[in-house]
Amino acid sequence: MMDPEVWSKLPQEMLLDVLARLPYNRITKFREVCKKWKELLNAKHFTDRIVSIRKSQTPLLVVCVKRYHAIMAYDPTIKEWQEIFIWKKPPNFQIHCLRAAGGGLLCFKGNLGERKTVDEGATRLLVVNPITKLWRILPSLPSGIRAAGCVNLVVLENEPNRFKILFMQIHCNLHQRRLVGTLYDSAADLWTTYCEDTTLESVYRSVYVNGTMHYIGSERVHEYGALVSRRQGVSFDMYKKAFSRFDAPLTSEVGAKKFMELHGRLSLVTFSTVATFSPSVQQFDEQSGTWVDAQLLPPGIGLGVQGYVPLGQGSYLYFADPHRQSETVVCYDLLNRQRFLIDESFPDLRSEGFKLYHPTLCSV
Amino acid sequence: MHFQGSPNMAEKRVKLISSDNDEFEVDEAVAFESETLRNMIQDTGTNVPISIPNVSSDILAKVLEYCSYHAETMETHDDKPPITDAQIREWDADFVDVHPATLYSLILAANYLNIKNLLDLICQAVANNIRGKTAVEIRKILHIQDDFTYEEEMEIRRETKWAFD
Repeated sequence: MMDPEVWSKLPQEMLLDVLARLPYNRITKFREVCKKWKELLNAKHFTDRIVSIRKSQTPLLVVCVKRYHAIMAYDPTIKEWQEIFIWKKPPNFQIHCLRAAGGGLLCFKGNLGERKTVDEGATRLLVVNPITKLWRILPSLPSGIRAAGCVNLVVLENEPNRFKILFMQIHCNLHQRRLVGTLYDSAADLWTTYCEDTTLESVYRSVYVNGTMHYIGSERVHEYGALVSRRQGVSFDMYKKAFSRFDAPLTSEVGAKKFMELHGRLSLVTFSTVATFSPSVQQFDEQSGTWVDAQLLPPGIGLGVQGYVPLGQGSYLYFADPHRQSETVVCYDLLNRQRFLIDESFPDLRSEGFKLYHPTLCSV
Repeated sequence: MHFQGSPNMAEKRVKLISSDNDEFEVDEAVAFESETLRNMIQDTGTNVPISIPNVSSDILAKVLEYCSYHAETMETHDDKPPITDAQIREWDADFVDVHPATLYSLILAANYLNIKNLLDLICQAVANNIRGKTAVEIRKILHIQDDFTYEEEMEIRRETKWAFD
């Protein structure tokens, strides 16, 4: 089929253009072809190309499959699950789960060495860039901080080679309930307590948009003489290091809400559990100061969906099969306005943590 | 990109001559899909036929088919519904469903004529063609000598193997 007489004459630059479009696992495998390819496929020149080509594509969906110690990625452009090779030589680190993804990096929770442990104190985080295959094991978390709660991996726009990991969790003692933000900064290689807030009861469903973290926050307020829980938008500005509140249509009778980032704007997705309501995407319009329906979803998509797992960061929504009879997963890609099916039962997306991943060259 | 959208500009025709001396005449908007042709036309105008010495007529016809379709998708007509992204994707998939030898000529032509979207499309098609191949098959297709020693080969296999155990 592929005639050697013809293809062996392909200029090297164009060959690299082709190779950069291969699935990630093939790129690793093709380093076995010859010494020159091994060098070419490891060179920065080539990884640059991968990043520039894939920038406009739908991100990969990455899953860590514990039982097989494998990192799997679903590539919507080729509609296939593939195993991705995230390091040249595996570090001495036992992965438990994928905790966060952002700025082209993946953050795993696990522990050093081979032995599995349930001791939270031994838990460590590892951050890896699957493109450059460089990784870093982070120092132990500060005492009292568990690798749980809201966590985001962020690469700020003005510092493309520096990453931050932000945990937000509630601490309780007899007198007080407070929200504590703990931050790891790759430049300092240190964990610090970043911010505190005593009025919020909880924050969840975090999403990072243009320098600011957004959460759905819940706080206790007095209303008609009673103490009630009220949901509202909470922002944390990563530059000013300050909390602020904002109004968002978060109370809903028909379904669940989740923030997501889309076209660089904060967007709110409503998923309906009632068969006659379609999911919708609203975006905040700065001019009118209101939330407007972004009209991004075609009518009928996800209608009557029983289960759903909307993705917070990135560009696509994920719906489970409405009838739970097949093992098909319905997705809708909001960037390319395209519905696609993931028709594989492996890996099980419900039980494994999954994240969206977009390649960059961010250093670790 | 399509700022030359005014009606009298769109009527301008451009003459192109392939390597085997066949003459093609297309709308300027079609030729402008190619960055190379755009630069040539802006330098010399549309009166002079442009010769494309390294693209044969069958390949040039194919390339122009692509350019006219994509130029057309940019236009809006009141009487016709706009072409959807899904339709374009389907058309593109049919377009690259050709013999690998044709793909090879197309990739060179798209590169020379600097038609970014076409080059993207073909590179992806070629990548899809070779993604199922083993390293041994790749060596055969591209006439590459296996220059690893036994130890080096074992070493590199170890590096790519981790997740298979």
